Amino acid sequence: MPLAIKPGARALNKPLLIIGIDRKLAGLAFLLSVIVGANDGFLPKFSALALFVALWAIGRRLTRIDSNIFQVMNQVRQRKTLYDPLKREQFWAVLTRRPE
Amino acid sequence: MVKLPKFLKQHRAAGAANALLAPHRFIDEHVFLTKGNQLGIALAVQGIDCECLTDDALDSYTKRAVQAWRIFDDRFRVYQYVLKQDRASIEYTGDYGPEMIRKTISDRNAHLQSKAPGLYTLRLVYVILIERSPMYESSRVKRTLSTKKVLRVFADSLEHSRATLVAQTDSFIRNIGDLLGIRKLPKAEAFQFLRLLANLDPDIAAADRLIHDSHLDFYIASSPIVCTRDGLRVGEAYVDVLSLKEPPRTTFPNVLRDLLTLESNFIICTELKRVSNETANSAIRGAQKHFYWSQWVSDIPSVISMVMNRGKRENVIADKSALNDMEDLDGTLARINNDGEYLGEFSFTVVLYGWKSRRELQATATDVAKIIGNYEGAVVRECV
Repeated sequence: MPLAIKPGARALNKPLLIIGIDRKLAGLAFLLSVIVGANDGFLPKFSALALFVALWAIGRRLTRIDSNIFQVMNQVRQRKTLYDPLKREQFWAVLTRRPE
Repeated sequence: MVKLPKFLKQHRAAGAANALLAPHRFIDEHVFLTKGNQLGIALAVQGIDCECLTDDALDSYTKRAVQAWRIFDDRFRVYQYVLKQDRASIEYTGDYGPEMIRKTISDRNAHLQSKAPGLYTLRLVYVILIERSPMYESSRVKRTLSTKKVLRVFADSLEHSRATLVAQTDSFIRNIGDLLGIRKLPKAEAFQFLRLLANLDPDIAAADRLIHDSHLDFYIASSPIVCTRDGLRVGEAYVDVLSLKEPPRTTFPNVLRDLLTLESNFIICTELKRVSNETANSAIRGAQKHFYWSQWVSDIPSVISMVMNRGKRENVIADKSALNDMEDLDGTLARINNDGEYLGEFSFTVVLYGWKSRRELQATATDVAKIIGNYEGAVVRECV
Protein backbone atom coordinates (compact mmCIF):
# COMPACT_ATOMS: atom_id res chain seq x y z
CA MET A 1 0.00 0.00 0.00
CA PRO A 2 1.51 3.39 -0.95
CA LEU A 3 1.90 6.14 1.65
CA ALA A 4 -1.12 8.39 2.21
CA ILE A 5 -0.52 11.64 0.40
CA LYS A 6 -2.17 14.82 1.69
CA PRO A 7 -2.48 17.93 -0.48
CA GLY A 8 -1.12 21.15 1.02
CA ALA A 9 -3.44 24.17 1.26
CA ARG A 10 -1.31 26.29 -1.06
CA ALA A 11 -4.04 28.69 -2.15
CA LEU A 12 -4.72 29.57 1.46
CA ASN A 13 -1.07 30.59 1.92
CA LYS A 14 -0.93 32.81 -1.14
CA PRO A 15 -0.70 36.55 -0.52
CA LEU A 16 -3.97 38.26 -1.45
CA LEU A 17 -2.97 40.65 -4.22
CA ILE A 18 -4.92 43.12 -6.36
CA ILE A 19 -3.21 44.46 -9.50
CA GLY A 20 0.01 42.94 -8.23
CA ILE A 21 0.09 44.60 -4.80
CA ASP A 22 -1.26 43.65 -1.40
CA ARG A 23 -5.00 44.31 -1.28
CA LYS A 24 -4.70 46.56 1.79
CA LEU A 25 -2.08 48.68 -0.01
CA ALA A 26 -4.27 48.73 -3.12
CA GLY A 27 -7.23 49.90 -1.02
CA LEU A 28 -5.12 52.60 0.63
CA ALA A 29 -3.79 53.83 -2.74
CA PHE A 30 -7.30 53.92 -4.16
CA LEU A 31 -8.74 55.74 -1.13
CA LEU A 32 -6.01 58.40 -1.10
CA SER A 33 -6.44 58.94 -4.84
CA VAL A 34 -10.21 59.33 -4.46
CA ILE A 35 -9.73 61.89 -1.68
CA VAL A 36 -7.25 63.89 -3.78
CA GLY A 37 -9.37 63.59 -6.93
CA ALA A 38 -12.63 64.59 -5.25
CA ASN A 39 -11.97 68.32 -5.83
CA ASP A 40 -13.26 69.99 -8.99
CA GLY A 41 -10.96 70.74 -11.90
CA PHE A 42 -8.47 68.95 -14.09
CA LEU A 43 -5.43 69.32 -11.83
CA PRO A 44 -6.85 67.34 -8.84
CA LYS A 45 -7.98 64.54 -11.19
CA PHE A 46 -4.56 64.40 -12.81
CA SER A 47 -2.87 64.53 -9.38
CA ALA A 48 -5.08 61.68 -8.17
CA LEU A 49 -4.12 59.54 -11.16
CA ALA A 50 -0.42 60.37 -10.71
CA LEU A 51 -0.68 59.61 -6.98
CA PHE A 52 -2.36 56.27 -7.65
CA VAL A 53 0.29 55.25 -10.20
CA ALA A 54 3.11 56.34 -7.86
CA LEU A 55 1.64 54.46 -4.88
CA TRP A 56 1.01 51.42 -7.06
CA ALA A 57 4.64 51.46 -8.32
CA ILE A 58 5.99 51.73 -4.77
CA GLY A 59 3.62 49.01 -3.54
CA ARG A 60 4.56 46.74 -6.43
CA ARG A 61 8.25 47.15 -5.68
CA LEU A 62 7.76 46.44 -1.97
CA THR A 63 5.45 43.47 -2.61
CA ARG A 64 8.07 41.91 -4.86
CA ILE A 65 10.53 41.98 -1.96
CA ASP A 66 8.04 40.57 0.54
CA SER A 67 4.26 40.67 0.64
CA ASN A 68 4.41 41.41 4.39
CA ILE A 69 7.15 44.00 4.05
CA PHE A 70 5.60 46.52 6.46
CA GLN A 71 5.34 43.98 9.26
CA VAL A 72 8.94 42.91 8.60
CA MET A 73 10.14 46.54 8.61
CA ASN A 74 8.30 47.19 11.86
CA GLN A 75 10.02 44.19 13.45
CA VAL A 76 13.43 45.22 12.12
CA ARG A 77 12.97 48.75 13.48
CA GLN A 78 12.63 47.38 17.00
CA ARG A 79 15.70 45.14 16.77
CA LYS A 80 19.23 45.98 17.86
CA THR A 81 22.55 44.86 16.45
CA LEU A 82 23.90 43.47 19.70
CA TYR A 83 22.19 41.67 22.58
CA ASP A 84 24.20 41.39 25.75
CA PRO A 85 23.51 38.39 28.02
CA LEU A 86 24.67 40.32 31.08
CA LYS A 87 22.42 43.29 30.48
CA ARG A 88 19.05 42.89 32.10
CA GLU A 89 15.68 44.26 31.14
CA GLN A 90 13.01 44.21 33.79
CA PHE A 91 9.82 42.37 33.06
CA TRP A 92 6.55 43.70 34.45
CA ALA A 93 3.23 41.92 34.47
CA VAL A 94 0.63 44.56 33.70
CA LEU A 95 -3.07 44.20 34.44
CA THR A 96 -5.23 45.49 31.63
CA ARG A 97 -8.88 46.40 31.78
CA ARG A 98 -11.22 43.75 30.45
CA PRO A 99 -12.84 44.91 27.22
CA GLU A 100 -16.59 45.50 27.71
CA MET B 1 43.04 59.64 29.82
CA VAL B 2 40.40 56.99 29.13
CA LYS B 3 37.11 58.41 27.93
CA LEU B 4 34.38 56.49 29.75
CA PRO B 5 31.47 57.43 27.41
CA LYS B 6 33.31 55.76 24.53
CA PHE B 7 33.23 52.46 26.42
CA LEU B 8 29.68 52.89 27.66
CA LYS B 9 28.27 53.77 24.24
CA GLN B 10 28.23 50.19 22.94
CA HIS B 11 26.80 48.91 26.21
CA ARG B 12 24.02 51.50 26.11
CA ALA B 13 23.23 50.70 22.46
CA ALA B 14 23.05 46.96 23.13
CA GLY B 15 19.77 45.30 23.95
CA ALA B 16 19.27 42.82 26.77
CA ALA B 17 19.38 39.21 25.58
CA ASN B 18 16.83 38.22 28.21
CA ALA B 19 14.28 40.53 26.58
CA LEU B 20 14.20 38.19 23.56
CA LEU B 21 13.44 35.08 25.60
CA ALA B 22 9.93 34.15 26.69
CA PRO B 23 10.33 31.65 29.60
CA HIS B 24 9.83 33.33 32.96
CA ARG B 25 9.77 30.73 35.76
CA PHE B 26 9.04 27.13 36.65
CA ILE B 27 5.86 26.71 38.66
CA ASP B 28 6.33 23.01 39.38
CA GLU B 29 8.64 20.11 38.52
CA HIS B 30 7.71 20.16 34.83
CA VAL B 31 5.65 23.25 33.97
CA PHE B 32 7.05 26.69 33.21
CA LEU B 33 5.34 30.06 32.84
CA THR B 34 6.21 32.48 30.05
CA LYS B 35 6.14 36.26 29.99
CA GLY B 36 3.15 36.05 27.65
CA ASN B 37 1.13 34.32 30.40
CA GLN B 38 1.38 30.90 28.75
CA LEU B 39 2.18 27.66 30.51
CA GLY B 40 4.53 25.18 28.88
CA ILE B 41 5.84 21.68 29.28
CA ALA B 42 8.77 20.04 27.46
CA LEU B 43 8.69 16.41 26.34
CA ALA B 44 11.70 14.34 25.30
CA VAL B 45 10.94 11.97 22.43
CA GLN B 46 12.88 8.89 21.37
CA GLY B 47 11.19 8.75 17.95
CA ILE B 48 10.90 5.92 15.46
CA ASP B 49 13.67 4.39 13.40
CA CYS B 50 11.95 4.87 10.06
CA GLU B 51 14.65 3.16 8.00
CA CYS B 52 13.49 -0.31 9.00
CA LEU B 53 9.78 0.31 8.44
CA THR B 54 7.62 -0.67 5.52
CA ASP B 55 5.31 1.92 3.98
CA ASP B 56 2.31 0.21 5.59
CA ALA B 57 3.84 0.38 9.05
CA LEU B 58 4.90 4.01 8.57
CA ASP B 59 1.41 4.94 7.39
CA SER B 60 -0.20 3.19 10.33
CA TYR B 61 2.15 4.90 12.84
CA THR B 62 1.47 8.27 11.21
CA LYS B 63 -2.29 7.78 11.54
CA ARG B 64 -1.85 6.97 15.22
CA ALA B 65 0.26 10.07 15.74
CA VAL B 66 -2.25 12.26 13.88
CA GLN B 67 -5.05 10.97 16.10
CA ALA B 68 -2.98 11.58 19.23
CA TRP B 69 -2.17 15.19 18.23
CA ARG B 70 -5.89 15.98 17.94
CA ILE B 71 -6.08 16.21 21.71
CA PHE B 72 -4.45 19.65 21.55
CA ASP B 73 -7.21 22.04 20.49
CA ASP B 74 -7.02 25.74 19.64
CA ARG B 75 -5.97 26.67 23.19
CA PHE B 76 -2.62 24.97 22.65
CA ARG B 77 0.48 25.87 20.69
CA VAL B 78 2.67 22.90 19.77
CA TYR B 79 6.40 23.18 19.03
CA GLN B 80 8.45 20.30 17.65
CA TYR B 81 12.24 20.54 17.74
CA VAL B 82 14.80 18.38 15.97
CA LEU B 83 18.34 19.07 17.10
CA LYS B 84 21.33 17.66 15.26
CA GLN B 85 24.71 18.24 16.88
CA ASP B 86 28.20 17.15 16.00
CA ARG B 87 30.88 16.11 18.50
CA ALA B 88 28.72 13.19 19.57
CA SER B 89 29.96 11.38 22.66
CA ILE B 90 30.27 7.61 22.27
CA GLU B 91 28.94 5.58 25.16
CA TYR B 92 31.32 2.85 26.24
CA THR B 93 31.25 0.51 29.19
CA GLY B 94 34.35 -1.60 29.52
CA ASP B 95 32.84 -4.46 31.58
CA TYR B 96 32.40 -6.99 28.78
CA GLY B 97 33.31 -10.53 29.76
CA PRO B 98 35.11 -12.32 26.93
CA GLU B 99 38.33 -10.77 25.73
CA MET B 100 37.34 -11.05 22.06
CA ILE B 101 34.12 -9.00 22.55
CA ARG B 102 35.97 -6.42 24.63
CA LYS B 103 38.62 -6.02 21.93
CA THR B 104 36.04 -5.83 19.11
CA ILE B 105 34.07 -3.13 20.89
CA SER B 106 37.22 -1.28 21.84
CA ASP B 107 38.41 -1.30 18.19
CA ARG B 108 35.02 -0.12 17.01
CA ASN B 109 35.03 2.75 19.50
CA ALA B 110 38.56 3.70 18.45
CA HIS B 111 37.40 3.76 14.84
CA LEU B 112 34.37 5.91 15.70
CA GLN B 113 36.48 8.25 17.84
CA SER B 114 38.84 8.76 14.91
CA LYS B 115 35.97 10.25 12.86
CA ALA B 116 34.27 12.10 15.69
CA PRO B 117 33.57 15.33 13.77
CA GLY B 118 31.38 13.37 11.35
CA LEU B 119 29.28 11.80 14.09
CA TYR B 120 26.08 13.51 15.08
CA THR B 121 23.44 13.10 17.73
CA LEU B 122 19.77 13.59 16.95
CA ARG B 123 17.41 14.78 19.61
CA LEU B 124 13.64 15.28 19.43
CA VAL B 125 11.77 17.54 21.83
CA TYR B 126 8.15 18.64 21.89
CA VAL B 127 7.08 21.75 23.78
CA ILE B 128 3.39 22.17 24.48
CA LEU B 129 2.12 25.61 25.46
CA ILE B 130 -1.34 26.41 26.71
CA GLU B 131 -2.38 29.97 26.03
CA ARG B 132 -4.18 31.67 28.86
CA SER B 133 -6.29 34.78 28.59
CA PRO B 134 -4.49 37.97 29.64
CA MET B 135 -4.71 38.93 33.30
CA TYR B 136 -7.72 41.19 33.07
CA GLU B 137 -8.53 43.64 35.78
CA SER B 138 -12.22 43.18 36.26
CA SER B 139 -13.79 46.26 37.82
CA ARG B 140 -16.36 44.08 39.63
CA VAL B 141 -13.62 41.91 41.09
CA LYS B 142 -11.64 44.99 42.07
CA ARG B 143 -14.61 46.59 43.83
CA THR B 144 -15.60 43.51 45.76
CA LEU B 145 -12.26 41.88 46.52
CA SER B 146 -9.05 43.02 48.12
CA THR B 147 -5.74 42.88 46.25
CA LYS B 148 -4.90 39.69 48.10
CA LYS B 149 -8.14 38.09 46.94
CA VAL B 150 -7.62 39.28 43.36
CA LEU B 151 -4.22 37.61 43.39
CA ARG B 152 -5.87 34.46 44.70
CA VAL B 153 -8.28 34.54 41.76
CA PHE B 154 -5.32 34.78 39.38
CA ALA B 155 -3.54 31.97 41.22
CA ASP B 156 -6.67 29.77 40.88
CA SER B 157 -6.79 30.55 37.16
CA LEU B 158 -3.12 29.64 36.84
CA GLU B 159 -3.66 26.39 38.71
CA HIS B 160 -6.64 25.54 36.49
CA SER B 161 -4.55 26.07 33.32
CA ARG B 162 -1.69 24.05 34.79
CA ALA B 163 -4.02 21.16 35.59
CA THR B 164 -5.47 21.28 32.05
CA LEU B 165 -2.01 21.29 30.47
CA VAL B 166 -0.75 18.41 32.60
CA ALA B 167 -3.93 16.34 32.05
CA GLN B 168 -3.87 16.81 28.28
CA THR B 169 -0.15 16.08 28.08
CA ASP B 170 -0.52 12.93 30.21
CA SER B 171 -3.33 11.79 27.97
CA PHE B 172 -1.16 12.42 24.90
CA ILE B 173 1.68 10.39 26.43
CA ARG B 174 -0.72 7.52 27.26
CA ASN B 175 -1.98 7.53 23.67
CA ILE B 176 1.30 7.60 21.80
CA GLY B 177 4.04 7.26 24.41
CA ASP B 178 4.60 3.55 23.68
CA LEU B 179 5.21 4.34 20.00
CA LEU B 180 7.34 7.46 20.31
CA GLY B 181 8.96 6.90 23.72
CA ILE B 182 7.85 10.17 25.29
CA ARG B 183 8.72 11.40 28.75
CA LYS B 184 8.20 14.72 30.47
CA LEU B 185 11.42 16.64 31.00
CA PRO B 186 12.09 17.56 34.63
CA LYS B 187 12.77 21.24 35.13
CA ALA B 188 16.57 20.81 35.33
CA GLU B 189 16.62 19.06 31.92
CA ALA B 190 14.09 21.49 30.44
CA PHE B 191 16.35 24.33 31.57
CA GLN B 192 19.33 22.69 29.82
CA PHE B 193 17.25 22.32 26.66
CA LEU B 194 16.22 25.98 26.74
CA ARG B 195 19.85 26.98 27.30
CA LEU B 196 20.86 24.93 24.28
CA LEU B 197 18.29 26.72 22.13
CA ALA B 198 19.50 30.13 23.31
CA ASN B 199 23.26 29.49 23.21
CA LEU B 200 23.63 26.75 20.54
CA ASP B 201 26.96 25.56 21.96
CA PRO B 202 26.40 22.34 24.00
CA ASP B 203 29.39 23.09 26.23
CA ILE B 204 28.08 26.55 27.14
CA ALA B 205 24.58 25.14 27.60
CA ALA B 206 25.86 22.48 30.01
CA ALA B 207 28.02 24.94 31.94
CA ASP B 208 25.16 26.38 33.98
CA ARG B 209 22.62 24.49 36.04
CA LEU B 210 19.20 25.46 37.29
CA ILE B 211 19.53 27.18 40.64
CA HIS B 212 16.49 29.46 40.79
CA ASP B 213 13.00 28.66 39.52
CA SER B 214 12.45 32.27 38.55
CA HIS B 215 14.15 34.70 36.10
CA LEU B 216 14.73 31.91 33.60
CA ASP B 217 15.12 34.37 30.73
CA PHE B 218 18.18 35.90 32.38
CA TYR B 219 19.83 32.60 33.31
CA ILE B 220 19.14 30.93 29.96
CA ALA B 221 21.17 33.43 27.93
CA SER B 222 24.96 33.19 28.22
CA SER B 223 26.05 34.16 24.71
CA PRO B 224 25.83 37.53 23.00
CA ILE B 225 23.73 37.75 19.84
CA VAL B 226 25.41 39.91 17.23
CA CYS B 227 23.92 41.02 13.94
CA THR B 228 26.61 42.16 11.50
CA ARG B 229 26.81 42.81 7.77
CA ASP B 230 28.11 39.24 7.35
CA GLY B 231 25.11 37.77 9.15
CA LEU B 232 24.02 36.59 12.55
CA ARG B 233 26.28 35.19 15.27
CA VAL B 234 25.36 33.64 18.58
CA GLY B 235 28.48 33.60 20.74
CA GLU B 236 31.20 32.17 18.49
CA ALA B 237 28.75 30.31 16.24
CA TYR B 238 27.84 31.44 12.74
CA VAL B 239 24.08 31.19 12.26
CA ASP B 240 21.85 30.96 9.21
CA VAL B 241 18.06 30.89 9.48
CA LEU B 242 15.62 29.63 6.86
CA SER B 243 11.83 29.88 7.10
CA LEU B 244 9.14 28.19 5.08
CA LYS B 245 7.65 30.65 2.61
CA GLU B 246 5.49 28.33 0.57
CA PRO B 247 4.32 24.92 1.81
CA PRO B 248 4.94 21.79 -0.29
CA ARG B 249 2.24 20.87 -2.81
CA THR B 250 1.70 17.53 -1.08
CA THR B 251 2.89 15.96 2.13
CA PHE B 252 3.29 12.35 3.21
CA PRO B 253 4.76 10.55 6.23
CA ASN B 254 8.45 11.33 6.79
CA VAL B 255 8.47 13.95 4.05
CA LEU B 256 11.46 15.78 5.58
CA ARG B 257 13.71 12.75 6.02
CA ASP B 258 16.34 14.19 3.64
CA LEU B 259 16.95 17.06 6.06
CA LEU B 260 18.35 14.59 8.59
CA THR B 261 21.18 13.68 6.21
CA LEU B 262 22.58 17.24 6.18
CA GLU B 263 26.20 17.33 7.35
CA SER B 264 25.72 20.27 9.69
CA ASN B 265 24.55 21.31 13.11
CA PHE B 266 20.97 22.42 12.96
CA ILE B 267 17.77 22.99 14.87
CA ILE B 268 14.50 22.44 13.05
CA CYS B 269 11.50 23.98 14.73
CA THR B 270 7.88 23.70 13.73
CA GLU B 271 5.10 25.59 15.42
CA LEU B 272 1.42 24.73 15.11
CA LYS B 273 -1.53 26.62 16.53
CA ARG B 274 -4.75 24.92 15.60
CA VAL B 275 -7.63 27.17 14.59
CA SER B 276 -11.27 26.37 15.13
CA ASN B 277 -13.24 25.09 12.14
CA GLU B 278 -15.42 28.21 12.17
CA THR B 279 -12.36 30.45 11.87
CA ALA B 280 -10.89 28.25 9.15
CA ASN B 281 -14.16 28.26 7.17
CA SER B 282 -14.38 32.02 7.48
CA ALA B 283 -10.75 32.48 6.29
CA ILE B 284 -11.30 30.15 3.33
CA ARG B 285 -14.53 31.89 2.32
CA GLY B 286 -12.75 35.28 2.49
CA ALA B 287 -9.90 34.00 0.31
CA GLN B 288 -12.39 32.50 -2.17
CA LYS B 289 -14.18 35.85 -2.50
CA HIS B 290 -10.86 37.55 -3.06
CA PHE B 291 -9.76 35.09 -5.78
CA TYR B 292 -13.19 35.31 -7.46
CA TRP B 293 -12.88 39.08 -7.87
CA SER B 294 -9.13 39.11 -8.48
CA GLN B 295 -9.57 37.11 -11.68
CA TRP B 296 -10.91 40.36 -13.22
CA VAL B 297 -8.46 42.81 -11.63
CA SER B 298 -5.20 40.89 -11.85
CA ASP B 299 -3.39 43.59 -13.85
CA ILE B 300 -3.67 47.27 -14.76
CA PRO B 301 -4.92 46.80 -18.39
CA SER B 302 -7.85 44.70 -17.09
CA VAL B 303 -8.80 47.43 -14.62
CA ILE B 304 -8.56 50.15 -17.29
CA SER B 305 -10.65 48.03 -19.68
CA MET B 306 -13.36 47.55 -17.04
CA VAL B 307 -13.37 51.27 -16.20
CA MET B 308 -13.63 52.22 -19.89
CA ASN B 309 -16.51 49.76 -20.43
CA ARG B 310 -18.35 50.89 -17.28
CA GLY B 311 -17.79 47.66 -15.39
CA LYS B 312 -18.54 45.23 -18.21
CA ARG B 313 -16.23 42.23 -18.12
CA GLU B 314 -16.74 40.83 -21.62
CA ASN B 315 -13.49 42.26 -22.96
CA VAL B 316 -11.40 41.28 -19.93
CA ILE B 317 -9.35 38.09 -20.08
CA ALA B 318 -10.02 36.35 -16.74
CA ASP B 319 -7.07 35.07 -14.75
CA LYS B 320 -7.60 31.28 -14.75
CA SER B 321 -5.05 30.72 -11.99
CA ALA B 322 -7.38 32.56 -9.60
CA LEU B 323 -10.14 30.09 -10.51
CA ASN B 324 -7.77 27.20 -9.84
CA ASP B 325 -7.07 28.70 -6.42
CA MET B 326 -10.81 28.81 -5.78
CA GLU B 327 -11.10 25.11 -6.62
CA ASP B 328 -8.15 24.34 -4.36
CA LEU B 329 -9.90 26.21 -1.53
CA ASP B 330 -13.10 24.27 -2.26
CA GLY B 331 -11.15 21.05 -1.75
CA THR B 332 -9.71 22.34 1.53
CA LEU B 333 -13.18 23.31 2.73
CA ALA B 334 -14.51 19.84 1.90
CA ARG B 335 -11.64 18.18 3.77
CA ILE B 336 -12.44 20.24 6.87
CA ASN B 337 -16.22 19.88 6.81
CA ASN B 338 -16.53 16.34 5.45
CA ASP B 339 -13.31 14.49 6.25
CA GLY B 340 -12.71 15.77 9.78
CA GLU B 341 -9.39 17.48 9.07
CA TYR B 342 -8.42 20.73 10.74
CA LEU B 343 -6.28 23.74 9.88
CA GLY B 344 -3.73 25.60 11.94
CA GLU B 345 -1.22 28.40 11.79
CA PHE B 346 2.04 26.67 10.97
CA SER B 347 5.62 27.82 10.80
CA PHE B 348 8.73 25.87 9.89
CA THR B 349 12.20 27.19 10.66
CA VAL B 350 15.64 25.68 10.13
CA VAL B 351 18.49 27.19 12.14
CA LEU B 352 21.88 26.14 10.77
CA TYR B 353 24.95 26.83 12.82
CA GLY B 354 28.63 26.02 12.90
CA TRP B 355 31.95 27.29 14.13
CA LYS B 356 34.21 26.83 11.10
CA SER B 357 33.07 29.26 8.42
CA ARG B 358 30.01 30.93 7.03
CA ARG B 359 30.72 29.48 3.57
CA GLU B 360 29.86 25.94 4.76
CA LEU B 361 26.58 27.19 6.19
CA GLN B 362 25.70 28.81 2.87
CA ALA B 363 26.24 25.49 1.09
CA THR B 364 24.03 23.71 3.62
CA ALA B 365 21.38 26.42 3.31
CA THR B 366 21.32 25.78 -0.44
CA ASP B 367 20.83 22.05 0.27
CA VAL B 368 17.88 22.83 2.56
CA ALA B 369 16.28 25.01 -0.13
CA LYS B 370 16.81 22.19 -2.64
CA ILE B 371 15.24 19.55 -0.37
CA ILE B 372 12.15 21.69 0.25
CA GLY B 373 12.10 22.65 -3.45
CA ASN B 374 11.92 18.94 -4.39
CA TYR B 375 8.40 18.96 -2.97
CA GLU B 376 7.54 22.27 -4.68
CA GLY B 377 7.84 24.25 -1.45
CA ALA B 378 10.03 27.29 -0.90
CA VAL B 379 12.13 28.58 1.97
CA VAL B 380 13.48 32.06 2.46
CA ARG B 381 16.85 32.88 4.05
CA GLU B 382 16.35 35.30 6.90
CA CYS B 383 20.03 36.25 7.28
CA VAL B 384 21.15 37.54 3.89
